[in-house]
Amino acid sequence: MLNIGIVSYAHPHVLKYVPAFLSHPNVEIAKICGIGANIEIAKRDAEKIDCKFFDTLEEKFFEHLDAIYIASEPFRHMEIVKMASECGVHILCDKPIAVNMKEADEIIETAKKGGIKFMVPFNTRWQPALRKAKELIQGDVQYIYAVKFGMNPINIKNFDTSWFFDREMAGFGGFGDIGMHMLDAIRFLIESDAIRVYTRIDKDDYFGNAIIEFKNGALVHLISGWTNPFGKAPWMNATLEVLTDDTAILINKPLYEPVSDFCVFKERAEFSDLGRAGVPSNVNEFVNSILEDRDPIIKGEDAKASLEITIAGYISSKKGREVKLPL
Amino acid sequence: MDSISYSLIVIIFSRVIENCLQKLFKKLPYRDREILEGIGMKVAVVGNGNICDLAHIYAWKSIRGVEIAATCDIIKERAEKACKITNAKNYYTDMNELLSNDDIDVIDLCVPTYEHARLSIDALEAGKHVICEKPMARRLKEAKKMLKAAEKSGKDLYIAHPRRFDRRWREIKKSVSSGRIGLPKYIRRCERSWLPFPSNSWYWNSEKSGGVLLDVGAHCVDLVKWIFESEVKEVFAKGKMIRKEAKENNTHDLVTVFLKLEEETAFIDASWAFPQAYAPFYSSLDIIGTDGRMEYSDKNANPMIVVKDKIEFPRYSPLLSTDLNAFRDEMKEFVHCIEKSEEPIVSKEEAYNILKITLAAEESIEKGKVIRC
Repeated sequence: MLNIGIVSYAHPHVLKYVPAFLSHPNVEIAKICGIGANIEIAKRDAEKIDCKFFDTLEEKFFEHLDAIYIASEPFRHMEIVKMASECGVHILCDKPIAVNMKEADEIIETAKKGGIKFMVPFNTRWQPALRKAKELIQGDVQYIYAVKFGMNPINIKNFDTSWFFDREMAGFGGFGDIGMHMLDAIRFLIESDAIRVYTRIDKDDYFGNAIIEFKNGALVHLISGWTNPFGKAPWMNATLEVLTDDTAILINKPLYEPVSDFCVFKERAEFSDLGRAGVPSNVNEFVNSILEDRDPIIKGEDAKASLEITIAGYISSKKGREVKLPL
Repeated sequence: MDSISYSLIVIIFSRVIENCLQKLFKKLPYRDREILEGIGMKVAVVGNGNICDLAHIYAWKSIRGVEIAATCDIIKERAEKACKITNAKNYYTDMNELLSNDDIDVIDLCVPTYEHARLSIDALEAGKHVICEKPMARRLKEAKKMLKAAEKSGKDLYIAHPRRFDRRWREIKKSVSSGRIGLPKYIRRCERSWLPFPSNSWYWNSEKSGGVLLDVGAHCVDLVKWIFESEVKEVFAKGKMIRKEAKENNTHDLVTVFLKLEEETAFIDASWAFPQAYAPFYSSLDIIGTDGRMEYSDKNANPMIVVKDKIEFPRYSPLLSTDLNAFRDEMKEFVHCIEKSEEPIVSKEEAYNILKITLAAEESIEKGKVIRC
């Protein structure tokens, strides 16, 4: 049995990860630290789960823990990773890995020195449609058109998401926040490194779009952002269109909801979100990497690569020209 | 009474009736008014290949007042066949001969891109009105000469950009203009296909056609400019050669183009390299506004699914990217403008700008740089 600590309730992903940990047969949530936004919700959950609760992050929190899941505001990742690594506690750190490249490097280095498992969960990796596409692709990917639209965090009820709109705390707005998921999926399909990025991000960083060129010649157009803010639209919109020399693969929304949403039509359409299968898969992979003492599938380096493309995108949009990678 | 005076009387009489009707029914529905237009106008269709066959003949036949008086193609069989279908009086294999026919009022050019400038200028200089398929020309210099020739001859020059007449894009444009999704910030236009012509066809020759960028991209640039109603400031583009035909001819068959407008961004995704069976998913249009999103796709609006041992999506419209009736409305617009000496929805100057932006994308691909317009 692994003892898991949850660090922070700032990111709404925590609401999906806590149930996934709770339902895992080899895991127990032993402690919750409420540092950051939504501390009251964290406290309530700790009472419900009947585990120890911490207001602040202190060394005592890491005692007797095997691993932690970090859902804090991204600017805190560095500090939390340092403490956990020193205590030899494994880390599942929600994305983005960090708010800049320097911290990303430091986080990866620290985790390595601490000899711990470090994983960043990207749900898309586990989606059956993406895995099927990967299996079907023969030869080089020539072109990918990828869309990922998410709900504007401002619309999440009874949850403090104000930090999403603070660049210091979150690192990025809509383009980076949502796009990073898709970048991970794209890298998984292409298996090559990005070499050039040209991006246009709207001035409120509500959404953006990028042309990314990869070393193996693949061309990618990515558009992502918080563009689903209204009405009863589905939470996520995703499209992935892949062209190889002789094959086109089109994946629409089921990329994110393998058990697809259902819709009730009455006076208006009512969508039901049946949840995303990626979260339990990420938890499984993380737990298994610890139990089997191996590297997790999505390593710090992968998260760093997606971060680098994103940051290059912001530089490109600001300077109005193409940016070369690595930065 | 000889036949000439007879037809004169008929023309005069029909004009009188037309005027009376127009006065009587000032609020006649759009379409009914249009039927009265173009009476006595004689058109010659030059270049009797694909677009002529699929669209222009249909368009001209649906305008009652206009007569297709001649067809013309350097391939005799084609000109003859088109002549038969249209019941035209004559067919020609030499446009100069056709131009000396004083009966013809309008030359409709459905010729390959690299011939647009030369033939337009010849026809204008011969005192004919010219309707020329898009893109305006292969090179900007040529397009400039076309503008000059039109000015000098005092005849009209119309470049056919049919997207603006398609009811789907019209409805979308109307909806955007009404503020339905707030201020439009981003448009993505995607047109993909499998170019069905062999490697030695002029389409695959970049010098002659400009590749997929000029042939399809010009449509997309037009649509973007029209919907946003603002000027393009910067262009950044990438091109790829995917198919064997593309590589053999050093011509791009997939292009991605960014347009930076005043405030907005547009993205164009045009390709000839999507497998043949992809055809039903030919085009899509996405718009993001400050207050909502809009999506249009053939794959939502137009699919036919046939299930056998495999699932198939047969293409049932030969021109899925443009509604066939758009060509009819486009020609009606040109006929109307010729008669009333009015500016069409897409003026020749606007067509010139569309070409300029599209060619800036070509330059961007070549230089790997952002091009300022």
